[in-house]
Amino acid sequence: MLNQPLVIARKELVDHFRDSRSVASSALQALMGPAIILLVLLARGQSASAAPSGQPWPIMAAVFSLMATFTGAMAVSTDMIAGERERRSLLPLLVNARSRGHVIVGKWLAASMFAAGGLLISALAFGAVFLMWQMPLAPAVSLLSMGPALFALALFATALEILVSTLCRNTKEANTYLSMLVFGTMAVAMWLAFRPHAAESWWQVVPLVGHQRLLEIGFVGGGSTFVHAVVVAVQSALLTTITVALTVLVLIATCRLFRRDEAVYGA
Amino acid sequence: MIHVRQLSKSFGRVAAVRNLSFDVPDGVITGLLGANGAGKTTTLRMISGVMNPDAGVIRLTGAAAGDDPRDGRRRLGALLDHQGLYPRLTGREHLAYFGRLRGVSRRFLSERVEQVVVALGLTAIADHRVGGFSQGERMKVSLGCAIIHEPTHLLLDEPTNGLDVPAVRALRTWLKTRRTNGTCILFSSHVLSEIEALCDRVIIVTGGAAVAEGTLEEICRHAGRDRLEDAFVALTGGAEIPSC
Repeated sequence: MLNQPLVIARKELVDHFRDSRSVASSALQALMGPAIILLVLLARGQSASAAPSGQPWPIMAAVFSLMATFTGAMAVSTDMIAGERERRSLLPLLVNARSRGHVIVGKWLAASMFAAGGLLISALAFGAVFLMWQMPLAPAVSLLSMGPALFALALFATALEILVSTLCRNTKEANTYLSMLVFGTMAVAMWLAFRPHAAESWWQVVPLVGHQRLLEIGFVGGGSTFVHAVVVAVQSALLTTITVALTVLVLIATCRLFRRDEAVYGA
Repeated sequence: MIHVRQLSKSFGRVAAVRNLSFDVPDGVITGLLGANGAGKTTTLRMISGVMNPDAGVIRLTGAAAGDDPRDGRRRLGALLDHQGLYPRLTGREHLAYFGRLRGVSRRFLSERVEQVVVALGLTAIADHRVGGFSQGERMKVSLGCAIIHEPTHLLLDEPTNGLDVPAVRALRTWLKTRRTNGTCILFSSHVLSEIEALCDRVIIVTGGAAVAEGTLEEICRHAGRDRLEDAFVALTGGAEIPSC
């Protein structure tokens, strides 16, 4: 059953990895956040011991990592649906694919790898910057337990981007609306900055808000107790479940949209 | 065989296809002839399953395909747009990709790709990325993608658009070979000379409806004209440009 989506995903990965300029620009976007924080730290001339906790770095690192997840797959998601429509290669694909659901799932799988890549590059670069300044990170066990939730975020972000790309008539329109999605992640961070206590309630298991909080925990460091690790693991598990469920709903909605005739020439 | 009965499709208030009925026999090249906007492309898109008709029935059958319409569609190959390729993939990768999508098994895929590469004269360029291909080369790759799974039914939407003379002749020769093999071919065009050179039967559509169907001679006789061009103008009510 998954054979055809995997064939489509493989082709998309090969095709888009050959677009070296696009891959490089996505990687640069993912490194933009760590580079900004590095430059600020350098400008302040803080010594390792003077990089105090309570500074905005963990929040900023979390925001930039969330953004990197969305920007990682943005170019690919745009090109996969709206771009294909504009290039007129969508028509032969729809003729030859067994179902439109397979097309969406295949493209989503491939684009998710780019989103996960963006998140990974950003998080690793932040980790390197933080370690250079001897700022604490969460224990390895907690960081590992966050993995599934963060990967689910990549799946969710890509599903949203594929949905938007399906609705758009051309790449220009898709770029505009997908950029708005990235601003959406910034809005979440700003909301949390003004209402820090919100993230302590059930919001912690709401996608994006929960992910922002989870990333902050990772970048704040400390919490080396067993109880803290368990709490993080439970939050991560709940967040993963809810995010995956929402991803499935978004994909179902996209498949329904994609079955309409407008999929061929734009919604 | 392709059976089309009472097919209709509208886009908003515009009726693109209206109660269109025709048959496309096996081993025959059938031309779908009409002016721009006559409904040819919409009809082919509905037959290929890319668009859903508002009303009507489409059945694809054949000796090998059986009567199951899903089976028929699996045996359908369609060249609806020969511009639609992936510039970063090679010709051979295109054929392999569409072959896998069409369910050609891995074991036979490379052999089948090689057959198509040779049959369409793509050997010299098969491993080049299609981004730099000419119109004729792109058409050949698109055609290869449409036939990689050895379809028994073939839909071609204005495949000669933008092609030079050698490419058109190569396409004609290839289509005649497929006809001999019993393939059911529906060829849409608004170029009369193309239809005359290639098609055994013609369906003339105007305003989304069929106004005549038959061999070239039958169409001319039906319209009371000697030439297909005159018959086409008479049947479609095409306005002649008045002489100054």
